[in-house]
Amino acid sequence: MNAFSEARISRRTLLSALGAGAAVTAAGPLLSACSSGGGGSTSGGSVTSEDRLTALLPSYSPIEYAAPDLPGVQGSVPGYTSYPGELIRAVTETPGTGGEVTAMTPAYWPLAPSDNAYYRAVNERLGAEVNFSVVNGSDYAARLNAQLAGGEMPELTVIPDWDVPARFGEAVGGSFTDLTEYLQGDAVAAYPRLANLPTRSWAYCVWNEGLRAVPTPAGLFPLALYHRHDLFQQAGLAPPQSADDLYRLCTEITDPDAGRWACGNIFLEVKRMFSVPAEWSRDSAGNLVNEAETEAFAEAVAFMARLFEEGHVHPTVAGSTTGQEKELFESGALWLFSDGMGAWQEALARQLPANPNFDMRPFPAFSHDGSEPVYYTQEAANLMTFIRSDLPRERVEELLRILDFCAAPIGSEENYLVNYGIEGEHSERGADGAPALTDLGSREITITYGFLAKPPYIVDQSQYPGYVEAMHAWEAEVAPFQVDKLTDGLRIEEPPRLTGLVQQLDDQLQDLLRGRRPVSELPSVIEGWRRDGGDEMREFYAQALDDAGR
Amino acid sequence: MTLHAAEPAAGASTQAGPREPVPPSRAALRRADRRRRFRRDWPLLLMVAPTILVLGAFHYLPLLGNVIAFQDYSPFVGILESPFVGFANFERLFGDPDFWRATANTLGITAFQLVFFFPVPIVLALLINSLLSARLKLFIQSVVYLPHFFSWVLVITLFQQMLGGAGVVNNFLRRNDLGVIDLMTNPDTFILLVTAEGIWKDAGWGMIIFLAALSTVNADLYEAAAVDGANRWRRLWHVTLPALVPVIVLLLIMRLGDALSVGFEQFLLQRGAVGVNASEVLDTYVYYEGVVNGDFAYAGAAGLFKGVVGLLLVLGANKAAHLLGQQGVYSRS
Repeated sequence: MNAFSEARISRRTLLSALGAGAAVTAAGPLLSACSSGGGGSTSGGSVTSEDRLTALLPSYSPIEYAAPDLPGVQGSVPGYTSYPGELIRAVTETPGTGGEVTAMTPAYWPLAPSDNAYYRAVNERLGAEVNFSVVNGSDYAARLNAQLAGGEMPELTVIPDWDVPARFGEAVGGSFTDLTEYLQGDAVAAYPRLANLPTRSWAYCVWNEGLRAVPTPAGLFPLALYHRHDLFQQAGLAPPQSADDLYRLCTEITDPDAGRWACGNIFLEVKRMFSVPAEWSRDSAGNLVNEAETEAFAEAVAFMARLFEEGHVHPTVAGSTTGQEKELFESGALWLFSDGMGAWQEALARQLPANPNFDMRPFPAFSHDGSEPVYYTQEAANLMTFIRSDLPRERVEELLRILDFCAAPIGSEENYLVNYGIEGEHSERGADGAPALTDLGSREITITYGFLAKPPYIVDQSQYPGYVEAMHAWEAEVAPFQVDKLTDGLRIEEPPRLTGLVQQLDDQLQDLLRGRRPVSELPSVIEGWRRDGGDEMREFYAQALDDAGR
Repeated sequence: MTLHAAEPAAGASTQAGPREPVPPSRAALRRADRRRRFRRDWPLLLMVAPTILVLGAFHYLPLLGNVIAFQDYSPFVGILESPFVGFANFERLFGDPDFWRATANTLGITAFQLVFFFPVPIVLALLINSLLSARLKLFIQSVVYLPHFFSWVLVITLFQQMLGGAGVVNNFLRRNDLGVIDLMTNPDTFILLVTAEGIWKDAGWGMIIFLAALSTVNADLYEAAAVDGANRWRRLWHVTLPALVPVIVLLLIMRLGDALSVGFEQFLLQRGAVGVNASEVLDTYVYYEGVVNGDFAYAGAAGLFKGVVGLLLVLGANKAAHLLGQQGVYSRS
């Protein structure tokens, strides 16, 4: 765990986070017309020095309540093939002072009932009644925008990195507490579980030269291309080793008469297979190039468009925006789909009780032509928890103690309580000690406290046979091929006038992928993108990256 | 000076015998009338006061927010701090082909639905009204207006299950080697699809108001027409339809006012399936520019444009109704 946490902290990583200040500074002239002192510091900032950033971040102080069975490999996360038998009480004092705490989190699953024994149990240990405002994940960005604009924030606000509102740099100063003085350097020692979070994830929470949030550390990779391993074995199919292999697999799988299609919209993984650079990269002459302008991207578009055209993509996916891919994959209506790493254990939890043979796995590392594959790492934190700005010091400290409780790692009573509720009521331990949710637990426990703060990412959930071993083995296999994006760790806020460009380009790409326009029109789409602001965006990024020393 | 001027008049009055009544001024009459009406109507005014307050607070006061269309607005610094940029947002808006595409789609869908959707509830109401069995009437009425309460997500999922590539219809066609029909992903037939979905969901609901209008028709008129030898078609033409005309005109005008609001969720949900060229309407355009991209001022300009056009359409349609001898939505008298 320690190796994972600290191996990736280097001069470059620190400079990455340092770019947070630099990039926003680059946006300054574009935003200065509409920012004010109260709204943040997006205009007129200066490049943060490396010393300043080092002083800003909390000191890393690892804790381990239970040793992993499988250590991390080349930066991959450690695995626990069994659940610790003995749990220690990590938080000995009651974090809360008895009042109510308001919090807003997203949910990507059905909501738990509000009259909930699990909430009561955790609140009792916390010494505070956390009143969650749980918002449907697909509506979360809109809700955040509206609440930020209206200045009506709860005490704790969780913001996923995929839902950071536009102009957030202007909002963060006025809306949320600067946690620097509470957590920087050795001050974090008051919150030992927070001090256990990787420094790289803290750097991601730097906004306007201040530590503004508590991070939820992310896993190493954002996505994988999953396949139905059980169905593959029945059909005698082997994983692909090239683009041709993948195409051949799709043709073998697709059989509409049998109600079976090869895949969902796997374009992101097709891009990875063709080694398309993530977002921005430098060409051999050092010029900044958008991913859409590369030859690899054109190949990826042509490949995916072919899958759509020949009917290998499930018609329900092709005929909707959201696609219901999870359900179709789990029911066997499609055999390949792309999703985040968390999707794996979520699917196992849903399917194993009814179908013990259900087995999904990511494809082993491969590229389109058999060369060394590229797997882009994801940002070091994928969720951030902000504390409202108008709270007195004692209240901020209380909230940090609550977050510290939620971040307790595996091997502690607190971790068990947050994830599995009360033993014997919400969960039962199996013969091997692995906890499994009871019916009550399944109804009442969804990720709520776990969104407020989390310990460093690990692979556990040993109650699903073979899962920990398979996940750990995949990460260990793929870890040598990990590559950081050019903009990794940078806090880049694009000019509001250009933020629509990504959506505009994606809309047109969907037309090409889904056969509404011929793929041969890709060059004109890219030309239009350049004309409508793509070149301006390139200049903006070039400035930001130059300032960040990239 | 006033006292001096008044004295002779007072003296003259006493000398001239009985005083003639001085008629009260017009303003005094108005004040008295206002007091009298207030004494008479205050309970009604009290009852309507909350509605006026709600209208003012939630409908008229927010209109002031349209000022952001003339600003480089940032929600985080507020209206007062955001700088004014004149008509810059409108210039950008009118020069944006995506905006005109959304406007054209919206107007196209409105026009299409005015012809093919608007009459459906009327026909449905006439058909149900012609049924003799009250129980059957109630049953059909309940069945056809139930879908109004379904969310768009459910409606589109149902259509997907029926007409999608893996849906009931296509599975049947596939099993019988009849090929497949692509109705859910075809941008060319998208206008038919959204209209069909709209009819399925809302035609029954729209029918209710026409049924209410039909219930007010005097039954004697039908009997008199029948005595005069009018058959069912003649009675429909000369009795039923004239009774519906004021309601039809009223709803038509109100529909015109909403001409640039064809819906939101329905289009957002099907955006990926048919692409923006077919599915982008003004409401989704404003949503993407404002909420998703955070460019509230620009979206505000688009929204203001939409509101002004809607207002002009209502005023124009109302005027046209007056010229055609109909009462319209409102009149001066």
